Amino acid sequence: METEQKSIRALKCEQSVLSRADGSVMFSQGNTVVMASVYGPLEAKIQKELSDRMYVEVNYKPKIGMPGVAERGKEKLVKTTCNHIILTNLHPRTAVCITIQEMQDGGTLLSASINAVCLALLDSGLPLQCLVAAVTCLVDKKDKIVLDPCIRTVKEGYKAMFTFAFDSQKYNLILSHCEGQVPYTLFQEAMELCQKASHIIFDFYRQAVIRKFSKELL
Amino acid sequence: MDDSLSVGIREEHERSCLERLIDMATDHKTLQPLEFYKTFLDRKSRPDGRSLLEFRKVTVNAGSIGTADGSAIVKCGNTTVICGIKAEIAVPGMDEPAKGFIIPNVTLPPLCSSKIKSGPPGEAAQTATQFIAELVANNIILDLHTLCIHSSKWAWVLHCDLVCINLDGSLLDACVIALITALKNVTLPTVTYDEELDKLICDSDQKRPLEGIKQPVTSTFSLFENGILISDPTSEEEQLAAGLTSITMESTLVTHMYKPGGCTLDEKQVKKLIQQSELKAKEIVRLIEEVCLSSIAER
Repeated sequence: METEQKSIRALKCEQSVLSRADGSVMFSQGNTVVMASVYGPLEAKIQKELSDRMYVEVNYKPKIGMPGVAERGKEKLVKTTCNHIILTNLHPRTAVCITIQEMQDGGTLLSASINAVCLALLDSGLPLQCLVAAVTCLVDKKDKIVLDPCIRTVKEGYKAMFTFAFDSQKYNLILSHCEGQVPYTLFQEAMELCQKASHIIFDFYRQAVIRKFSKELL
Repeated sequence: MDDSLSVGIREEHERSCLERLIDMATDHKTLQPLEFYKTFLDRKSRPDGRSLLEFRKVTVNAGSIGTADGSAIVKCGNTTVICGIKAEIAVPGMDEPAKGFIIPNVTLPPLCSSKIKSGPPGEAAQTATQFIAELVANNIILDLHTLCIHSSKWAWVLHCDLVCINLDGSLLDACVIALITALKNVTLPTVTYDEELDKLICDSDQKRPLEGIKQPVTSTFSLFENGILISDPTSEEEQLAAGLTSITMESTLVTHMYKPGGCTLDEKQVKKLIQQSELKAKEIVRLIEEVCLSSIAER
């Protein structure tokens, strides 16, 4: 039986893995591995061009098979999050193309994708309003909250699974996605737990950037 | 005669002043839609006269499509969604041999809004379909085991087609109400599986409704900067907003808080929205039960 998990799994990342992309990262959260790349600002297609802002396009590529409706759902969630954190007003009539490639599914693909995109945006140097950290937590059948579940816990069945993303300024909620039903008290508890865990991810971003620049300066 | 003439001239003058004011307001609305809208928000009101957290009138009609096994039409203000359900029998999947299927599909034809173009389903239709599919997948609306006829041999498949014929904001709200009302309206023929003969015996005269349909209700809210929250946005309000969130409640259980990015929310605002959604959910559940009772009486 799994013991109650109160912290997130090990985070690892390698930035600037792609030579042609403006920003790229290979990010892993426990067994979940995701690669994200950012190309931008690019020339936008005329149909997609916006006169006052940059157009954000997100493509999510699953490991096996063609992208379907489920992938469109994930793309919309990441796209609207990026619209909020990128200062799109600074680059009107251009576009930014973000691609997320699933490398390995260890249980929390949505939150790993959002975190990877945030690191890739940091790597690309696009102006950002704030950073975003996403955390997934699961309420199992015995009403226990498991933070950052691994794929085995997910497969065992759950009452509800939540993914929350928070901003780096006031730690308010940017994104929320849920599966399953719980009473409001449990929902609030899960949100608070994820909010605390997001601090760990923001610290990790800081360390990743420090490491990247210390390598470049040396 | 002089008096009536001067009164006539004064009326003409007032009418032309009024027309000029209306022209100015229309210009302001076209050139600076957000500023125009903010003048209403500052007075805690909206262009259609609602208060900030007031929902539009919801009209529900069940069983209007005779050829479908179950159907419903829902109007949330101007947003109109039709749901039609057709049932067929199929072999259950290998990984879940005791479960039937509910296959939702949300269609946004170009006639519903000027923003929708003809061609393959766009992002809005696909994300709405995915939202409904997730609601169905977690046994939230109906336990899929009740759709199984004989484990690993035969199960019911319910194809739920949701067509929006007028899009004016809050698409997900209308879709969920339409789906639940249509499911409650479904009658399936009694099917028994004869094991010895390995045949399905279908009795079309004995029709029974589905059982155990739960009633989650979705409420959409638009978020503006400065912490202003408005409920049940129209399509214009959705465009001007800095963020959007749809909260699905089933009585007191939080079923889904769908917040795809956008403006941030703090804990107090989340609590307020959930309370508003709970109130709306109670009203809508009452409305659906009334409609279903009257449609059963008609049958």
